[in-house]
Amino acid sequence: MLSGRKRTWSRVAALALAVTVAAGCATSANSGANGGGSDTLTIVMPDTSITWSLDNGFGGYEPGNNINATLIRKPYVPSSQAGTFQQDVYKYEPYLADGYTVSDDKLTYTFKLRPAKSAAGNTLSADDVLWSFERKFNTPTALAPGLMAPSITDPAKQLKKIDDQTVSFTIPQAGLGATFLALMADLFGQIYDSKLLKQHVTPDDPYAVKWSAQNPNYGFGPYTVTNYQPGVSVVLSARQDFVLGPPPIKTINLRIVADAGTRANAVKNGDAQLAESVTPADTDALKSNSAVTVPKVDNPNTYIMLPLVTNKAPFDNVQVRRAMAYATPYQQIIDNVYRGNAVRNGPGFLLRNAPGYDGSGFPDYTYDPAKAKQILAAAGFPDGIAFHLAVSAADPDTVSAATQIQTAAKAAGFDITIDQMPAAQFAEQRSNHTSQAFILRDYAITLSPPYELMVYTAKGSSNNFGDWEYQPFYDAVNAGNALPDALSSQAGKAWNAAERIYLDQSPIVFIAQVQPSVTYSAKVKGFAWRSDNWIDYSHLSLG
Amino acid sequence: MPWRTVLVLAPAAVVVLIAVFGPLFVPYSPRDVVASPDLAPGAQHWFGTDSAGLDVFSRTIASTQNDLLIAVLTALVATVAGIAIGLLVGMNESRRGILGLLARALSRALDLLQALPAVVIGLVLVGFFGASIPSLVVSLAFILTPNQARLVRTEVLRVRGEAYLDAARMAGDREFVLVLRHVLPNSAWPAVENATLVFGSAIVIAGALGFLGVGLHPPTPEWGNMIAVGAPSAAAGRWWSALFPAIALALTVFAMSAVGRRLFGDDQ
Repeated sequence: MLSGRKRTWSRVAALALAVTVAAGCATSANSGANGGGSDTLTIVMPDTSITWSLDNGFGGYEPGNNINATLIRKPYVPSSQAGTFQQDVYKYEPYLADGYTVSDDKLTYTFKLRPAKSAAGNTLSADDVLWSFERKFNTPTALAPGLMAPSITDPAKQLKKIDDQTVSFTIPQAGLGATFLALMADLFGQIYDSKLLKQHVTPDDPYAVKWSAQNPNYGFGPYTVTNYQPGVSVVLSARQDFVLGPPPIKTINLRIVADAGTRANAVKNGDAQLAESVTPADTDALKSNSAVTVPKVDNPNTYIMLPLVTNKAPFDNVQVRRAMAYATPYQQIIDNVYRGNAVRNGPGFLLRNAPGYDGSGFPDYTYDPAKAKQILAAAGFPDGIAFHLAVSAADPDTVSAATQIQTAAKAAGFDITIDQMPAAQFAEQRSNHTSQAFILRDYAITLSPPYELMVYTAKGSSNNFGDWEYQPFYDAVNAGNALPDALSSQAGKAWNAAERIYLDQSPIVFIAQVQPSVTYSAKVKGFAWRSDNWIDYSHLSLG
Repeated sequence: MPWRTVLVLAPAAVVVLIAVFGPLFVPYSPRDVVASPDLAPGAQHWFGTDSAGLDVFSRTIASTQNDLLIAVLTALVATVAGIAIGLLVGMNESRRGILGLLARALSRALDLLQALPAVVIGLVLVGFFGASIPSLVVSLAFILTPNQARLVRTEVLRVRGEAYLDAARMAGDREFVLVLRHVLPNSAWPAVENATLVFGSAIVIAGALGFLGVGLHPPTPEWGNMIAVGAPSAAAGRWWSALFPAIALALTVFAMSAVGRRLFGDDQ
């Protein structure tokens, strides 16, 4: 017979054994779930505050983009890197609509709808399109009104139901057509299941926006949400009745993993198949790993940029802004921060493959501290100038870029103090234009030249990073908008003239175009870069 | 001086010497990009370079000054404030009237502060005051004062019942003088003894705040910041930019705690 103490130790040992066996089983079970079979994909991402639609305000829209759909979309075409795709941002293919026709005066666009089914099983109708836009423009938290203007400002007047399967949009100027189509292909143009949402409206919530924030399955997209734990995970299941046919991957497991290094390691070790927001250093380290793919696209639209806030000294002086453009170590940032995973194609923001783009007459901003010093002296600052540069602690690459600028700009006479702040505080200063300068990564989702020119410069907009309002620039943009086709070579010259003013005034120093911060298992096929920088899960497959 | 005491004091003395003179002898500027990023430790960069190309050795050495300055000032402010509050609360909390009410309210406020996680309080205060050495010192002192005050209060409660206080009162000493002459010298010693622990805690909490991104602005050399910058690299195998500042932080706290334990006689 065992003594009391021996019995206790035996129990502890038995318990330890049981826990070990259970843990072992759990581990193998988890491996199956995490690693995924041929029909399951695990994606690790940071906490982006998932938001299911633009009507609920700012947030991480990637999952929402995979459960909703638009009338048209930008087609995927192969990029220079074998196996990687990218969007053709100036063409559109049918999605929820069979396509569109344009009236002779180029003002009215008519869409014929497909009999697509929503996640709730309802068939798409013209009423869904009209009600979706009514909701977008009548919800206080919605972002569409600001983003769709001037193409769409009053859906009640501009949208028309022709019949149950046909709708038309009338835009105010023919020249806005290119921007309008791009907007309709981006998340601004998502169509919701109005039959389902109308069942959940209340006097306080007339468009079921609050309800839909908790119940995301009201779209016509390829996936449906089957499990959602905010800040932890999302499980998406492929829809068999999706209008373009069932997606190849049946289940997408989205796991929130806070640490960027851990996300990269998850792909390296096979615990996940795709990692988002990977640091450039980790991306660089994984380049040589044959089991991992680091995508490279031809013309990324993400820029690292340095807005110089013009509403206060020292950047209320255009000469100081120009001097800063010559004091920025562009190549050093590309090499040291992005490890070559970025490119500087010129000083501007418009994509070089835009129709009619020629880039002529732009200032030759390169790192030239002597020239910067000369400009500063001419501006009345022979002894240099000091300013504070705000950075977000949540973006290590921008913090690192700020350090490169701080060191390099000393030679030009700039004494920079880096103000690192939490992401929320950084966002606040960005919207309120309270800092002297800040550094960030950002992109225009809609890649029509007039949209790109105005995205950071619109009058009174919180997105006008430099708080820069300059009438000659607006006149130049309006001259382009007055032309019948924004993608014609004639319009290209107008956009070029507007961008020349933009760059000469230098309210923002555009540093470089940054490649996608994604790595994935070599087994994953079909990765497609999109202008919104989100991943289309329905285009992925596992080899 | 006994050799044991010398042995205990020597590491702390080395840390102080590094703090005072180290920045003068570092091979590279601790605030500037001096080489390619993520160079492994080698002959040119003894501790390697971090992800921005800053020299880790120079920064680890230069950080000593900032971290020690923060810790010394915090220990000083927290101890002085803790003694004052402890005296005020201990002498008055059983009284009637406004002073007693104030003392009791202060005592409960100290309880409340101690119930909150130090890093959370630090995050709020540094967010409010901004990240600089003075604001960090104020924030850390705010976090660490309650414990000092409670130590003193406990001792005051014991001392205030002593017969010599009654004798002093009968001799005509005013209350303020009595507290200053008799209560303070006999009740402040626990807080003074604890100051070395406050010192260590200040370094650790400052490091934690730096790790969370609300410490001193980059590229100011500070161990917490350095660990924060190096941690993602460490996860991917580039261990050096986080490990060396972490070792420096641990050794400094250990050295300073050892001094406290030796000086106040509870270390054999």
